Amino acid sequence: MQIVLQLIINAIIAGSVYALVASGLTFIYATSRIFHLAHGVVILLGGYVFHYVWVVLGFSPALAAVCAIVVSVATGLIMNELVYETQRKRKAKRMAYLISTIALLMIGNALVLLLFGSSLKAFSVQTEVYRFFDLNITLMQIILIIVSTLLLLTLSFIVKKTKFGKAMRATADNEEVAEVMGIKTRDIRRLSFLVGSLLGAIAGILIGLEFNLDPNMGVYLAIKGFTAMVIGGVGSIGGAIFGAFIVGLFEQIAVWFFGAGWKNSMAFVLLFFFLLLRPQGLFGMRKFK
Amino acid sequence: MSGKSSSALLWVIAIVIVVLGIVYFSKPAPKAPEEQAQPTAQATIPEGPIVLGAMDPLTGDGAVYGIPLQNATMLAVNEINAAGGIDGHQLQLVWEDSKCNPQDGSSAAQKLIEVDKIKFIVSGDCSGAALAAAALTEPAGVMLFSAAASSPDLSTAGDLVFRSYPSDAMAGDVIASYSIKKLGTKKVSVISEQTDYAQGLRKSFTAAAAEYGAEVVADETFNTGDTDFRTQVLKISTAAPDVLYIVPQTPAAGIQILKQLKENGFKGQLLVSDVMLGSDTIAKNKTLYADIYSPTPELDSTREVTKRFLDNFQAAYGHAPEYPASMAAAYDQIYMLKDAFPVSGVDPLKVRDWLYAVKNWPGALGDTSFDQNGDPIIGYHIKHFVNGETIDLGAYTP
Repeated sequence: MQIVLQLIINAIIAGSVYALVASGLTFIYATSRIFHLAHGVVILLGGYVFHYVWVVLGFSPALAAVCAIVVSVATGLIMNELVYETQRKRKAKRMAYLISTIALLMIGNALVLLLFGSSLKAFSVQTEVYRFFDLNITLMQIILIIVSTLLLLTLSFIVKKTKFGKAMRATADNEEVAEVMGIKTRDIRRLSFLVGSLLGAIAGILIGLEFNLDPNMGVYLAIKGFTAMVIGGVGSIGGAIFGAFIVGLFEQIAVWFFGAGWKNSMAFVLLFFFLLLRPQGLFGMRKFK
Repeated sequence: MSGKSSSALLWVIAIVIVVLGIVYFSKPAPKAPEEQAQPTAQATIPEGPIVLGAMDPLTGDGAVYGIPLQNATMLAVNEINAAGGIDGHQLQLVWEDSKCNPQDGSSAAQKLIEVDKIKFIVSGDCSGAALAAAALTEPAGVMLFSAAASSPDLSTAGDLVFRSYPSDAMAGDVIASYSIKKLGTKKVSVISEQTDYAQGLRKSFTAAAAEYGAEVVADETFNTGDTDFRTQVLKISTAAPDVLYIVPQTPAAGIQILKQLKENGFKGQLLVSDVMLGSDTIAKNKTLYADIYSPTPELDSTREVTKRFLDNFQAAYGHAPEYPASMAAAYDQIYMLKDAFPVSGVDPLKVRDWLYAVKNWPGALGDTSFDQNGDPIIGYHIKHFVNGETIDLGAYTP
């Protein structure tokens, strides 16, 4: 029983990071209809800039976090402005967005490699370990879970209660009608890239602190976030968060029963089964087009 | 597509196939290495410098030992050149970056063989890269001489494959025997990275442990680049072994495992493989090296040649060698070739015979002889790390 509980705790730790990634992706998808896989780069930059400013340059972690968020959010906004909005003006098809987002992911990954090198970056942050009934959780992990929960709660508040949230939902529902009703959908898209990238930057920082930084993780995180989104039902933020925990849990189960070789493939296995058997996801209303 | 253009396309394809066929079959069949071995009375070294190929992981995670090994190799090369070279011939090295993985190891070897037409490759490489390189050097009649690859698989990788650093078949045996016979452990466990080096060590450790009567209660692996080892750690803790042997490919992953073991409150004794023994790594993570054992070939600084290596390295680079054992092996390689070339010429087959014949060659790593697989026969010391301090427990033979 203890093992099951510890596995679930481990899944929650990994899942809360995936949830930040998946909800950012969902937020962006809702207004722009783009599967923004290049979000992986935004997350990577968050972690790497944080590491660089804090560990390499020796500034305070708070300043490092601010720099990381600024760089990541700027990257997200620039990607939207230069690539996606330009394509939108030319009335690009969905496939074009998909190809350009994959290209952005590859270019961004290569740039991170070029700027920061391929070696693993560690923060060597050691925090206190708490033991409850033989279950282990560190202070860092508790902070990680609390920060993600607060962010996700704030996000759902924004979506449900604010004017921007309403405008966003209207844009998600029907862009043309929203435009006719006087909503500046272009600004809504910009804002959603801003919020999504902010979540990504924080995810990157937390991942760095908890799991170290590896230049390849951008791709994996984008795929895991995407899988979580599909599991939950594309467009539903609550669903994406739930999906993130499913991905986290299945990864832990895979390592436990089949060995670590299967861990990163679990996201693909889940993605495959959901696309095949339940493309609308667990909570999705709309058909996955 | 119209009939005309499709038949034109067919013609083009047919011509390409014919041309490729001609090129393929007109290539002279590679001669078996044995046929080329013609004993000659005296060794002559061709005019000009002697050019050797060299491959080390110069970038990436493996660079933490690749760069030090490159420094040790270059120390020997510079010393020899400053002293007038080998019979008046200067040594020249062409460096390639193998990045500690089979793909880049293979391309590095291919480039050295095909483009630079090199006959000898010295390498301070990871086992994966060295094994991939050996698959190309052996058929090409090129000697691969490794100072760091320690996978047991390299023993049988070819007749022209040698190494100056001992095989892990030995290291796994030594540490298994020590932990079972001296530390009295009965239940052993291992966590290893999915790479040739780590898997070689894992296999020799588990086989030896079973032979000495211990039970292997957990045998976990992880992928290169993984940073979350919690589930493996949980699984190992649940199996409650007396001892855990940690075998990563690079120190970064190993440190992360030590950290997560500590968080988990793992109580068993810890053993680590030699990539975890870098002096830098230990100095930065003193609290994690609270009580750890590891076997390593040991430098005896009372030996004249060992002292020369340590002193000259200190003088050249301003600090002590980070990985003394494998760096001494890299240094020895070059001096072995220096002794071999005047006798056997720059001929891989004759150098091979010279190496097999050599007995107790005085190297910085120790008196070196080679077994029938081209592996050196060198003893191990057990090191005990207590709160970041290194204690040498002396030589140990299983």
